[in-house]
Amino acid sequence: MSLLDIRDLRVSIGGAAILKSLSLTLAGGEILGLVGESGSGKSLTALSVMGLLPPQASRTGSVRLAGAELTTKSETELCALRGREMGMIFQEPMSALNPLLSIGQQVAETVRVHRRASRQEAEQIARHTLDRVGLPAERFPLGLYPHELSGGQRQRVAIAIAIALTPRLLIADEPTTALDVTTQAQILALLQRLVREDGIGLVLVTHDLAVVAQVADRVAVMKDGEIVEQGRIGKLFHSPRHPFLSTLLHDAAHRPVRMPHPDAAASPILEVEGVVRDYPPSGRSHRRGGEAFRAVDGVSLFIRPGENVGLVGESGCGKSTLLRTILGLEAAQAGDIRVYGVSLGRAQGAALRQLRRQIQVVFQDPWGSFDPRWRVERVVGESFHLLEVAPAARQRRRQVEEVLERVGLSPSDADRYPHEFSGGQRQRIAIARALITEPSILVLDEAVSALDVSIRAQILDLLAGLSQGLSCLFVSHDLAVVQAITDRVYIMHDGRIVESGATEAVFNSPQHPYTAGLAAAAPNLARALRQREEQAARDEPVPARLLASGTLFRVKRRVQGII
Amino acid sequence: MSAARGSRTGGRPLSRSFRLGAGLTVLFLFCALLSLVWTPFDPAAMLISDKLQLPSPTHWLGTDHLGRDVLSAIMGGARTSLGVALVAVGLGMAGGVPLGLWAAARQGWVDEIVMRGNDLVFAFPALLLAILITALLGAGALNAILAIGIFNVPVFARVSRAGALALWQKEFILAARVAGKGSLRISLEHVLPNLLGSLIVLGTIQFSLGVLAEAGLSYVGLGAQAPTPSWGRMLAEAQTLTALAPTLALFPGLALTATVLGLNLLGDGLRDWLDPRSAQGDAW
Repeated sequence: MSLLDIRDLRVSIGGAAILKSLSLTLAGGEILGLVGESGSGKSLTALSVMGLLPPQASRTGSVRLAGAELTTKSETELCALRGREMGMIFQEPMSALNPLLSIGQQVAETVRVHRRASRQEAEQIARHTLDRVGLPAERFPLGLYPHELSGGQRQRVAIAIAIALTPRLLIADEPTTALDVTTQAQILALLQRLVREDGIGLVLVTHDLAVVAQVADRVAVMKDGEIVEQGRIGKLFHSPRHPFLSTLLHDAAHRPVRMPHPDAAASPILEVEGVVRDYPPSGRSHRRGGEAFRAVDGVSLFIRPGENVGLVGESGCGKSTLLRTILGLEAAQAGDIRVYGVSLGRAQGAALRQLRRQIQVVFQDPWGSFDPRWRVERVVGESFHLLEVAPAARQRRRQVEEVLERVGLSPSDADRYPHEFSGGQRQRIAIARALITEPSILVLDEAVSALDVSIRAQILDLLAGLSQGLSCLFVSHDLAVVQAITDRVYIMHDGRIVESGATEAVFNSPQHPYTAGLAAAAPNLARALRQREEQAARDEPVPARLLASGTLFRVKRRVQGII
Repeated sequence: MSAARGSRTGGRPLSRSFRLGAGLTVLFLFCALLSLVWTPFDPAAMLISDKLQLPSPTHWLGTDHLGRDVLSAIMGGARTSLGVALVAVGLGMAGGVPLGLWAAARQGWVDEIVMRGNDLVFAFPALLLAILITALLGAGALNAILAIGIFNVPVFARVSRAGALALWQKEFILAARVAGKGSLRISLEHVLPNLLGSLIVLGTIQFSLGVLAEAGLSYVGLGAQAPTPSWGRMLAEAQTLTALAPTLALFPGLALTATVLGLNLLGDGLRDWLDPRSAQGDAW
């Protein structure tokens, strides 16, 4: 008997069918990857198993946990199950923890809710569980508070809360999406270990195919509230039956076709030389003295005309600060930033506006980067302000329409409000806004990180098409994207550039240990599949039938194609 | 901007509580404005022979201990409340919003000075300040306005500073800075319009508090002086007569409750209605 058995689950909210006849099973000790794009119903599936659907949702079908029907249970009965029999881990570890309670209290709370445990016993269990998730007592006493921990450590606490009572089912909804790659690798390894040790059934909800390929045993692919494909990873990823999965796999490994590489001899248009940026010690404590925090520590980089350059680093490495300094939003304490040989720090008035016009930016968050009260026309036209002679109203409108068409939107979109657009369309608007001043450098601050793979592939194509005569600086933690689109790359760590060079060379033979660690930790679909294959080859001999039919050869071709 | 709002909010149903609030507020405004040109009787005219009458066809809400018509006094009182509260809220907004925007845009020592100044005003109870002002300038509606107005300044300053600080973190403000706009321009073009919704909500709620404060001040004799009609003074006068004429306290009390309730419901309804994103009911 399977641990979790969902049959013909249908959920609708306000008459709209969100989940349409969903069926899946999960055995104990198994990891099922539930993948799909945003809005496909992954999270809702997770919530309906937990019985946490919003009150206006209606649900039919059957959800069985170890043979017991969950859909007919009352809220009180479900409360007894949640936390004890089934646990859940969420994406945002900060908001999943209560900032006012210590980590010990939060883990012990779950224990005390479900067991008549004394405070002391509960604390013992909490201690033991925190040890298991890699937060040892000597460094992480029970009295620590969430804000004293890093994102990865917080996620470990969230996992400890979920597994404190050794549940049989664990649902993890994008548990590593908000984390850096090295932390992500650690958390995934932790989850795998716990599943193996406790025989937990894990549903791993994610948008990232590489993560699934790396850790899951089976995968279920969701699209528009349905499971379009379900099966063992290796087999399914090598020969997807449903076109959606093959598109997804294709998009995930998408590399845009780029114009011929730039002239290596051309003189750089942007030069950053020895830039230093200090922050006074946190908050108002500067009155009490103390050492300044050096966010950017003597960074130098340059960009040639038409070149795509990547800036890679994990959160807190100073790349955002560097970016703000390059954009002229913050002053550098030392060093120089030159655009076309003119120093940004010394320019003023019209000259400064002229330089600013050359560097435009696309931000990460497609939801937060527009004034919700402005129409697209005004949003896109905001930088007209930087032009020496601002065009007349009709001319402005025409230019806005032109640039909207250039990024693949329609001219009439100028009259709409940003909230009427999807995430991918919003990123196009953001690119249009950046292009309106005809800059020579486009800075993309994690500009595709928040997008689904198919949309991401489209935006990357768009950027590749635009990059004629335009230099791009890609700031990202996503190695796959940086690898796909950049010529050269800078690796940043603790405020310094630790390695730089041609993208392929840096990733294929990293010189600095940090780069090597980063490259190893980043989820990589092709590598994960190759490892699976090697594992499978070791476990069982290849059937002669496959060899004869040439299937294996095709599989290899496919894998190589992805690489 | 007004045409834009029409298209954004058009076709959205208004909630029942919003309509109730708007109805009560309109009734209050109507009474106040009508009293400028017409009241059933002169609210100040005394006719001792007609004192303490119950509601009747002649005096709809009865008369008080001096034979004055209660309905006329309530209508006149509405005008006093409206005037005092409106000007006081206006003073608060005119002083507080620019201070809040300035503090948020500049941060650092500007922020410190503005916020500590706010704390200073907050440290005194409103009534104390009112007594101080009346002691210096004498009792009257004008001084009530001044007292309530001064207390509204830090309220608006705080709310606009907090809202502006959150907005300054947004990427669209960063984008505007990348476009080379200065902090004054960003404050006016991006920050203020996005704060407008919450300021209007706060405005209506402060308005209702202003109505209450005016009633409170005139109740203790620091507000509008006779013969200007005032709900607070009506309540104070009716207090000694509750056993004899219970309706005398009832009507001004009801008027005050209905006005405050109406303004609060209106404020909540406006907040939902003014937010362009609520058109789609999106959670973000």
